[in-house]
Amino acid sequence: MPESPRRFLTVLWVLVVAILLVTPLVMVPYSFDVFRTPKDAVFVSLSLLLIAALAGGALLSDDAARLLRMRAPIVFVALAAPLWTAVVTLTSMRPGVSLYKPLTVVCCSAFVVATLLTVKGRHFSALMVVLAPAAVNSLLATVQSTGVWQPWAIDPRIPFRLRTTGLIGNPNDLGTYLTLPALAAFAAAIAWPRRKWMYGVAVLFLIGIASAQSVTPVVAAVAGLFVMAVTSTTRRLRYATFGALAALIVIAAVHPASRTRFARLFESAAIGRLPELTSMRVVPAATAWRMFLDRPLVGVGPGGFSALYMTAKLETDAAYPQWIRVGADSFSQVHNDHLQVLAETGLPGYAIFIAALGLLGAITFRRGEVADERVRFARTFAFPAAVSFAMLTLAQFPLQLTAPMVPALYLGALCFAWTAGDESV
Amino acid sequence: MKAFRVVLAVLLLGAAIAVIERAMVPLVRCNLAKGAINRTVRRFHRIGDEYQRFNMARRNLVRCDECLAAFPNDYQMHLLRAANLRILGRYDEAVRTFEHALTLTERAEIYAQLGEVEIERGNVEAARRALLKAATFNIEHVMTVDQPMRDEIYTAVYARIDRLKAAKHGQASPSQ
Repeated sequence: MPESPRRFLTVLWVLVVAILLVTPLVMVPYSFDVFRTPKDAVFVSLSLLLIAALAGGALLSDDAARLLRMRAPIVFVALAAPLWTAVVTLTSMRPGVSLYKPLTVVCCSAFVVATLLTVKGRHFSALMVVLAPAAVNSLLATVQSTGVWQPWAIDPRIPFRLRTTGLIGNPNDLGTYLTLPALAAFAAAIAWPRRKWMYGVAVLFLIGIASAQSVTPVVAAVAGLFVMAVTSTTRRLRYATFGALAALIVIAAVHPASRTRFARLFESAAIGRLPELTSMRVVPAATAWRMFLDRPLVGVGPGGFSALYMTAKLETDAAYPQWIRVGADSFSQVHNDHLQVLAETGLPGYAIFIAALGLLGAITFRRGEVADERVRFARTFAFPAAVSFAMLTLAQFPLQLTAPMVPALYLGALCFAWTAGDESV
Repeated sequence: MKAFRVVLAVLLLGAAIAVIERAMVPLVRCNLAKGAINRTVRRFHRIGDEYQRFNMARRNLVRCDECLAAFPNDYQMHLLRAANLRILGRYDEAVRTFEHALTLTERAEIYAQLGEVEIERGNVEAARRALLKAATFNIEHVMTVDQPMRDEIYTAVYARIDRLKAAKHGQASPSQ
């Protein structure tokens, strides 16, 4: 490779690695929002430098510009997302609230494009870059949830479960963040047979997920592992996957706080109390659906759900009075990204989201024998990851959070980059 | 041509750095300021020295205005601004600030705080309307007001639920 594109790719790679390492670990104590806002600021800042580097490289070197002329379908999806976000921001019912949202989506797209460009020639180390900060968070979550060590002072009125934050911010975000790295660690252990210690890393992530005591990540991890077992072609993989599934279920059942939480959920399910069973999320879900039906093409605009929730919720109350709970408060997010994307960006926005998941999942079903461990990793990981992420977005909102989105975008792009040119195999 | 490309690349880098400097750095700084202001607002009721309380509120107000100049759509900062205006007794401005926050996003706690300020202004009907809206979402917001308004709002919230349930089941509402 000529010298100038190599330098260009090195600059991009340094920025990609900085995003991967800093975003999940950064926090600013004494802030109003200690975790999420600093992560957003770091991600957007580094992504803006990434965009400048991408554009600068294309301007200064014809070889670098040629590298950017990618024609893969995922690149079109990555470009369609910010374009459509810009359109729905213009038609937003709360333009002031939607104003900065396209910037975040542009940053996500730039991060995907930079990852596609830079990881193609890299090997196992490219995977470790995303797993290392996840391991730190998982370890921290485990010591927090078991009461061994709490790195900062906690208000004693905060329920014990909510004290397990890692460096992510709250247990739900933490569990959501750890789910895809857990699947990736497991797929890596399968793809690189000489690196059996990756099973240990996978188990560490599973313990982190159980420590978070958040139901959705547990269910999403179980679903992902189950799909991994079903779609695998080797018996060894099936045994290992079912072993991990059993381990996750045992960890979730043995972990005292996790067991209590599941017992409470089963109790709510037994008496048929849908709001309690869904942690009151059924109401915002129904409200988001009504918003989507009102504006199916362009939605209410990015960030519009939170701004318009109160008025819309009163209409939902009339339709479902049995779900009214006098202690239930406002929701800033639907806690279901499928419905939130539909409500805020309409059908085209949701189609872009589904297209990205579909393209990722399709990698697993490519035919032919593979000798390259990276292709084996991508095929093992892609469809289970797509299923798992689709499940996470059913009861959480990873699309609205920087911490879970960074590994999700990176691991997805990694699969596309490592299987590029593999379609005809 | 090459020189033009170099200039353009440098300009792009400059633009990226400018956005970081003008938007991202203030975002982190205002997040820190918001944390500090929020902590003092929560402590206000424990500060007996009125002079000290007023001084803190004035300082907070300056920081709120600085951050709102950079992020005019930050509803939480508007809420903090209104809370400090309330401490300073500038009730009309506080109400206007709460109302502006409501144009950005509708939240029960904004209505609750708006209701409390309206009571302090002696505007009982407006307070009742705001607090009823807040309590419709979360009944705990009604605990901040005294009787008989508390009971009135409490009854109205439950009457609404009964009415909706009755309408759903096609029965006559017990409260009607």
